[in-house]
Amino acid sequence: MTSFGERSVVEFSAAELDRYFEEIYTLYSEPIYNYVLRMMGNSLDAADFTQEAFVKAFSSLQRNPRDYQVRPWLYRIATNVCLDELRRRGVVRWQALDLLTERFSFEPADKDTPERIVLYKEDVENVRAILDRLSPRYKTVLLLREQQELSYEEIGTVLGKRLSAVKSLLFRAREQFRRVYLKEFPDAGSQKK
Amino acid sequence: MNHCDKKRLIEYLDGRLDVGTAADVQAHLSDCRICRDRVTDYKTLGTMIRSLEPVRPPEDLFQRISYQIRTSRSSASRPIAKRLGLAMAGVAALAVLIVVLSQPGLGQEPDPPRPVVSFRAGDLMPVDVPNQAIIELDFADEIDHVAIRESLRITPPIAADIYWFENTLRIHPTQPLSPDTIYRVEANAVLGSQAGDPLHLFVAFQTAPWSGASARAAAVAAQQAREPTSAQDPVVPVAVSASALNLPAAVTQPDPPTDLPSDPAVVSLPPTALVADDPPPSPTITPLPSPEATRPPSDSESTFKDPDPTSTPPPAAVTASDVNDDEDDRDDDDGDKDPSDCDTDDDEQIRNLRLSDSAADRLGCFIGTTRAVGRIQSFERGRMLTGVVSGEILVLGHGGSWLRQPNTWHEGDESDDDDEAAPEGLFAPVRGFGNLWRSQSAVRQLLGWGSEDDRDLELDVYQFTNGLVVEVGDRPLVIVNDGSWFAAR
Repeated sequence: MTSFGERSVVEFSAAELDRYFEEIYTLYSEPIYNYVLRMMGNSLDAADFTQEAFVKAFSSLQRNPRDYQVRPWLYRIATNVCLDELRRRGVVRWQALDLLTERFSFEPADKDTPERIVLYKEDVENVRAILDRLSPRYKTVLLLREQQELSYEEIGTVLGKRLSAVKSLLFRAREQFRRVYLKEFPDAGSQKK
Repeated sequence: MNHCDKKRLIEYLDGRLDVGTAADVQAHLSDCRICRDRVTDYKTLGTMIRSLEPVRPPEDLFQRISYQIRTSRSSASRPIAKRLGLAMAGVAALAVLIVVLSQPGLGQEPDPPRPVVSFRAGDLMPVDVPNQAIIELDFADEIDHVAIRESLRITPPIAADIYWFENTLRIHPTQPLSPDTIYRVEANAVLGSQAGDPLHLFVAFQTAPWSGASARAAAVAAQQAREPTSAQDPVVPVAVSASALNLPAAVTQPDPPTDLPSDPAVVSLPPTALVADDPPPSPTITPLPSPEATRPPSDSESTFKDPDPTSTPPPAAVTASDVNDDEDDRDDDDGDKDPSDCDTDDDEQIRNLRLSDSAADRLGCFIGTTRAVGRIQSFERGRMLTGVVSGEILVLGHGGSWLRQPNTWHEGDESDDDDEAAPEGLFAPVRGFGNLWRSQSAVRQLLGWGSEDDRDLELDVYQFTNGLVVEVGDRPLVIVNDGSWFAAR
């Protein structure tokens, strides 16, 4: 975004806005695409909804040109696009009771489940399956933090949440991922000591 | 032992603590196996997620975006996917950058536009499809490729190259399609996710009345199957997209199947949310208008069409969430609604419906029940129903989609009932049903002729947060706000 120096987006002509948008696309198309890919679970949807996100981004720029914080702004649009579609398809459903994250529990781990996860090479393939089982909201925050490496503040902008809520949500998302993973792939962990 | 505050643990994991606090946490972790193991596991899971191999976006994605901005009105409600071609993998980052920058820029005239729209269940039959369109059928569920390919029939016949790309069937005409013609694409298969459930696929589209038309087609594939009786997602969403590309060499057309019914084109119509007190929806069963011509680009003007002013405003830097509805920001509360949040005292009232878990899940919480008197008529490919929502006619298509329309007929109104004689054994609808059936050709095309006369009936209507259940005889009809319906048993 340096090609326009200190000028504000508000001052851009239409042609400059086009070039600005092209730069945004160049810098962010791949990370946004990968984020949408993990949210939607397949490449065709990823292409479609990445396209949708960028079209909406341009529309926003054109109707309300201003100096957005580009990264969280783009992820916010992409997140909304994905969740809207998942909701429309009926995928965003209430969580089954056994997948709900409990409060952080200090109880010892279940006797029949490993206490730790040991990373094996093949475990990476299981990650997609687990991600697809998470609630879209938890999947969103995990992908934003772990895959896209957004800061807490940026995640808060994307999700429209206070910092404390982001921390809480991130904790619950990690905990749910951990619990679901250990339940689905008990052999992935070490034996109970 | 006191364990770490969960937020502090997260912040420690993400390196957000000051040196002193981090040292305190580290000291605790060295003594607390539970907290230590959790932190280690969270790190491992983060590594797993980051290990997912990054994928390059399709090379033509920017061109698709450019085209959509140029030709479409912004729509915040329903995504319109565009598939211009197959994604190409394995391109180096630098090459991708070059490709992107060398694309016709946003300020330049592109190559001749390739109108591409994809359609989802619930949209209109595409009309004004360019005569060089490529038809894509996207299957959201596992489908028998061979069975579809072998049973595929296109009427009137065309010369086309037909092949699968993942779960998308592409019909690539090798000769221009005939203008102003309704084409029907039919096939039979068994859904992989529902072994034993046969699927009859039916898609219809209409070409533009003149060759070379660049008007956009308005959407959707209708899927015709037996009346869905399962609560387990009986209708597989099928998206149809049309694109105009340079055509490859001709390939012979598949042999037509022998067991397909003969029927006219079928359309499915956009539903609206079925909420009892909503105002009557505005019927939207006319094709989308053609894109307005864009002025030639100039230095100071954008070549993009002005977006729809009614589309979603840009997000503020920090505002109330529009990502998650009913979000609860209290730290200890999981905002996801739990099925157990529904009032369990209502279970008794709906127990007789014997809804499956899946149906109940889709419907949400029970709100209340009413008894009404309405009318019903069965048609060749669906039914019409009154009495569910006051002043409205509910149109249920056999493909599993529904539509509500205002009932504008009143007792004493002049009737056009005698204008057209029904085929032998079939019935022309009358009164309110007939008024709608004759005034809205898409409804007529969806339902066909009446298979019986209309009749009065008493209805028990059970309202849920996400839809309705209507007891018609001994078969509860589950009508979901997402536009689908099915018989509960």
